Amino acid sequence: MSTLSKAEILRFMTAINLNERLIITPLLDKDEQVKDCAIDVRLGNQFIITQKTSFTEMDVSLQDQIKTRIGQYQRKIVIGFRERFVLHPQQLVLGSTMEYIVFPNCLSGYVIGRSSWGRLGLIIATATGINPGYKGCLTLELENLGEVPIVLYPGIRIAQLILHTVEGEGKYRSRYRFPVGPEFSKAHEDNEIGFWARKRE
Amino acid sequence: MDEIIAEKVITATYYKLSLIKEQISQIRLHSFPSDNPKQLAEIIKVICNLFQEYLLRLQNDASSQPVEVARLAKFIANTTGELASHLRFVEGASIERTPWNMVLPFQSFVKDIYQPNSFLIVRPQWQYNYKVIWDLVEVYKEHIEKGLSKKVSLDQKVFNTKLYIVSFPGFEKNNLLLHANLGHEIGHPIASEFLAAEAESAKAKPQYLPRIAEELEKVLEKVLEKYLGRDATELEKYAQKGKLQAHIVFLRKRGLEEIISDLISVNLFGIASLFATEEIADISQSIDEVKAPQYYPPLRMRLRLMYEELLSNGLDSMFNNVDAQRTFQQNDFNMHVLSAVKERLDIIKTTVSIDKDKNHIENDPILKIAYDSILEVLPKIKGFIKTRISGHVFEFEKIHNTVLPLCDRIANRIPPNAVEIDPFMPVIADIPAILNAGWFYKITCLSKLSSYRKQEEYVKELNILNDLLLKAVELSHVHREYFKWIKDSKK
Repeated sequence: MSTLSKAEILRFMTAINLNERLIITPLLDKDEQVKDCAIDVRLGNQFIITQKTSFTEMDVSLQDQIKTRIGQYQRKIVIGFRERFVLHPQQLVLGSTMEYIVFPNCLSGYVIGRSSWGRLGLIIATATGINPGYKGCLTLELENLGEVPIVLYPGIRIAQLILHTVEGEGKYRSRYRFPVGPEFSKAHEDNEIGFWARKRE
Repeated sequence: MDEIIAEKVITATYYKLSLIKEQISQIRLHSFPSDNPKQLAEIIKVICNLFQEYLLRLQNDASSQPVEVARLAKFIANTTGELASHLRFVEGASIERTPWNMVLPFQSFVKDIYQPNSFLIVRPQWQYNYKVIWDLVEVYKEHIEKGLSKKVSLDQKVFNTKLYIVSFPGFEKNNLLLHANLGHEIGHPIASEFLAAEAESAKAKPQYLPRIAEELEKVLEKVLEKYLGRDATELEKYAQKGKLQAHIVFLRKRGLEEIISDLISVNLFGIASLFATEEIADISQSIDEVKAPQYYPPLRMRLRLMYEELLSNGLDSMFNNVDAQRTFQQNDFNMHVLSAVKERLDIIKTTVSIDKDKNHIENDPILKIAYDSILEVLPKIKGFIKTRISGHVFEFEKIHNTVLPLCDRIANRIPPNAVEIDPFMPVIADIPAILNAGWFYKITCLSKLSSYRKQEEYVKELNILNDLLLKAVELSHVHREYFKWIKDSKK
């Protein structure tokens, strides 16, 4: 497994066969976005914001409650392009990449923040791995670790993808199917939760 | 007495106007996919301010007659009630209740067809149909000037806008394929342009009316007997003849409104528009009758005229183009798509070759006169449409260059926002191409699920398709705007 260089990235992006192609669509500015060993991706305009609620906990083992609780705790909003989105200190917000991304089965990668934003206190992802064969917009977990609110604009280059080749071939199987924006958590769908969490009376 | 009533009405109405303004402030806090709903809210607010000032002037004007003051106050009170109900157009247009991804792209698509000062609002309604209201601002202006006897000065900048409010069936919010029916709604204001021009030229030279009168004369005795019985007096017959003639003119107008709009839709959106109309026809109780009170033309006739228009625009070329066939023989999926689309078109061809609707019209002498007159004017209409929306007519060359590659993307679970044979030289897709690709995919891949009775899978697949299509419309719009910005900033 090695990190893809710019030349390799471009080679994967121009593969003739769609199944072997790395797709980042739309790629608005190739020269700005394709870097030496990474591709910059942009912030989409849908967000899932969290809000204070009256319930005491989020317990993914409470199958009958959890969907309602997520609905009460998190809400999807849309910000128009060229509009501002203010991320307050310590606030957690789910966003997504503007680009729809398709990984061929021979590539995996991870998404990390751009250092310019990191220096302002912005963290963009904690679950950073991208599996071979992934298709969809990437959900970003945005958090402001700074002391002052940060203004974000949909469309700005906010994160970067680092890509690796996979030895052998991987195939992406996930509960998040072809997302076109940020997705709510589906942690409660893990089958093994039933084993690890004692059933409450 | 008038004085007391006027006082009461003025105070109550002033309060109501304040309430509307308060509601507008609340509604403005919602998120909207464009600024247009807020612009309508602003117009309503301007009218509220104008009315409040007018009411105060009325109250303080000792020279006015109490009867006149009461009349004006009541006029404002009634208009206020109406105005308040229009806030629903603003409230419904929020991001939560609309397919927000398509609003801006659709708006710029429409702006190219209408006038630059036009603005469009897309909103849901609970009724299961599409509707368009246009010239609302003009109606406000005329109503106010008439009601207040032109004693007000209306800000021309505010009242010189053309507003189009397009409604769609609310629960079908994300069903972009069905929204191909919006092409028909775009057509309505243009149809009314044609009818207005026709009425105008009829003033100089009689057009269709003498012919209608002549045809009515031929069947009059038989028809009058049906309506009035055998013992009717000459006076009754004369009155009925007038009514019949007016009814024929009305039927002709209703028929033309719908047919012109259909033809515009099919010219703008191509086959997608035909498929969307077919989907409506599928659930209609009757596709052969003209029924009161709406008097829509029979859906079978509408499908027939749309199909014929597509044929004359080159529909067959997409199947006959030898070079294209050669190219696409290399791609099994594309061949599969073409044959599925052809199969569906053949079903429509069979549907429209049945004459039931024609028989229904033939058997009713009044309908026959109206529809003969419609068919007579059709060639003129087709010419008018081609000129009116030139540059926006769907070209069948697009099917091979754009629609099929986009369809291929959908099959690979990629939004059909652009053809990226060379990803660094993308051809950005427009709304008609995306709609057609979506329909082609649905007909090719989803119809199978329906015929195998895999309904749950169908639901999942259709949701994925809708998501990909809406994302594509959004991304292609952003892409185009970004390129425009790059181009402008280099100047």
